[in-house]
Order: sequence, then structure tokens, then C-alpha cells
Amino acid sequence: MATGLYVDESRSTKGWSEKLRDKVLIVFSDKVANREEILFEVFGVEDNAGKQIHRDVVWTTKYYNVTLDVYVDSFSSLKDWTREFCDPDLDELREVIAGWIIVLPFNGNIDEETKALTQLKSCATSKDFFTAILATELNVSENTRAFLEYELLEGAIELVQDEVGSDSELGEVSGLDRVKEIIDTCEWHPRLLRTTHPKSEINVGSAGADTPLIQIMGRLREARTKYMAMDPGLSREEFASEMARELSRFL
Amino acid sequence: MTQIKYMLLVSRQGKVRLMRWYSAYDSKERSKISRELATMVLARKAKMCNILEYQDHKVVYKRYASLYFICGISSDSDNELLTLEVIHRYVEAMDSYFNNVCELDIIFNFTKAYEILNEVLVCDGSMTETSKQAILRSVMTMDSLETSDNLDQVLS
Repeated sequence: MATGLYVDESRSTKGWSEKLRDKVLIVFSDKVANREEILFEVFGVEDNAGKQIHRDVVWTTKYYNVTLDVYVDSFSSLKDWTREFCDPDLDELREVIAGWIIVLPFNGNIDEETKALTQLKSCATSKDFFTAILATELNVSENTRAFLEYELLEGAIELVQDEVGSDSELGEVSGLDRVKEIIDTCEWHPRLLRTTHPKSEINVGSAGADTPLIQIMGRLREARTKYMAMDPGLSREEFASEMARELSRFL
Repeated sequence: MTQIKYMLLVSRQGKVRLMRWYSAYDSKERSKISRELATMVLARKAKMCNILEYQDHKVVYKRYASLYFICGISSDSDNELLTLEVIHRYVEAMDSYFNNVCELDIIFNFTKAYEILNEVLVCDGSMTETSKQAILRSVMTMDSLETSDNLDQVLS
């Protein structure tokens, strides 16, 4: 692997004693044909001339959004890539990634892949970041698959098969949707999170589906804080009247 | 009748999202149980039995999407199938409340998930309410009380 990946210190670490994990590493096997499609589907970025770092990608869920950098890498031999990724020289990178995703096909004899993943499990997994393997093909026996899943599970690495459709009984999402779900549930540092208020997603009883109650409460709180901070006088009373007019429009 | 000893909610990534203990366990035992059960249950294939023996009791689990609901029950006195039904009731109640619940809803509204669980199971682990409508009504009443309380606080 000639990764060329490096850590942008000016953004992630400067001024903070603690490093922010705001980078997601996605690594493709050379055998993966639909790399552009996967990158676009998951992160909404285009694979322009093998661009390795996509900065300021906004990841949005119904509860929060977070700005992250997507690091893209590729390998022809997983064993070599793993050796290099586990090298102490890349400690700095491992300390700032929020998670890694390896995209590769599993076909026939997967001894080499299993060995490499076992090594990866021991050196590059942590409860601080998510880890997932996206299998574009999984043409192995059931026993091999079970063994692989168990091996990966020990290192909290999830094996996701890139397949269409889901098991409706379990309501489970699969393939790229599951990868997105894994990123959604990543424990981002609070300093990276910008929360959004999901509107009418929750049945809030008497509030009614169309009433932006959370929004009104937020505005009321802000107004009260600002009012308390202002000096008594005409401007404070004008501000109070203005807020009362604004909020009455909601009611 | 079933009396649950504990309920754990574990993600596919092995992270414990919720836990409620209805029997006395010290913190060491709690972390041992949650660690061991997460590994044990996650390693099981989809078609394997949802009931297994663990320590001196039984464990009943059910998977919904990316979440595993795991309950510890007494080997001799509790009913495994009823426990599966309790889990299902809880999931149905959360599903209605959150409008198709997902892991993210539970992470960001874990207090609500606990409140719903409190309506399903009382502190000794026995089922207190089977009606989804009644459960939701109680939770929504609490919501409106909380909202008016917040409103009073802001307007005061």
C-alpha cells in the first residue's frame, strides 16, 4: 500500500489536548469493481481520479450532523495493507479515526484474509471507534462464514454482506444501509456533534403532530436568557414585546 | 407468570444500549454478565434457539433489526415463551412511540426507552401492563406533564 494518508494536524488536534476522532477510513480491495458507487452511496462523495481524502463531508441523521473527513485507500494484498496499517508509524492516524470500513470480496479459500483480519483485530480495533467489513461477495461455506463472523466478532468487527433486500421478520437492514447505520450509531465526540431537532418524529401526545413545540420551547429559553442578561430599560422591554409577538404567531 | 432478573439491550456491534436489573447483582457481576452475554448472544446464528442456559438461570433473547433484547429468567419458575412475548410487547410499544424505532432513537432518547420499560415491567421484574395503548397513554401523560413543567419553568 502506498497510502499517502496523513493526518491534518491543524484541524483535528490543534488547541486540544484530546484528539477528535473525525475521520472515517474506507479501504477497498483492488478486486472491488463498484468502488465509486459505494463511495457515493455511503458518503455522497465522488471518486475523482482516485482522490484519497474528502474533507468536510457532512454526515446527517435525524438527531445530529457531524462534519468528517473521509480517507479512501486501496490494497491489492490485505496482508500487506494490514501489516502497514498496524505499524507504529500509523499510530497517529489510528488515534484520529472514528472508524474504518474494509470493502473486499470473499471467494473460495479465504485463509489469507482470515489471518490478516485476525492481525487487524489484535492491533487496530478499539471500543473508541467502529469497525466493519463490507463483503461485496461472500462465496464461502456456511462453516467458514460462521468461523469468520466469530473471529471478527471477538474484535467487535461487524461483517456486513453487500446484498439487496432485508430480512423483513427481523426488520434488519443490510449492505450499504447497514454500513450507514453503523456510522450513524458511532459515538462521536460531543464537540463534533451539532444536534438537530427531529420534527414530529416522536408521538409527543397532546402536543400534536404539527406543533413545533420543541422549537417554541427553545426560542422561549433563548429569549428568557437574553432578557435576563439585558440591562433594564426600553430596549429590554422592546425585546420582550418583539419576542411575545414572534411566539404568539406559533400559538 | 414470569419474573425477569434483568434485561439488556445490546447492539450488533456489542455495545450495551440499555440495562435494567430486577435482581440483586453487584457491579462486578453486572459487567461480567453483560460482557459475556453480549459475546455469547451475538455469536449465535439466526436460526439457533432463542433460549439458552447461562450460569444458574436461563437467558431468553430476541433480535430486532440491529438490536438484541436479552432477558435473564429463573430456570424453574419462569416461562420462556412469555418472556419472548414481554420483549415483543416492549418493542411494539417503543415502535409505536418512536414511529418505527431504530437504534439511534434509543441512543438519543434512552430516558424514554427506560420510561416505557418501567410501564411494562415493575421493579421486581414482573409484567405490569400488557396493553400497548395503556403503556403509551401513561408515557404520553408523563410527556405532557414534563412539557407543561418546562413551560412553567420558562415562563416563570
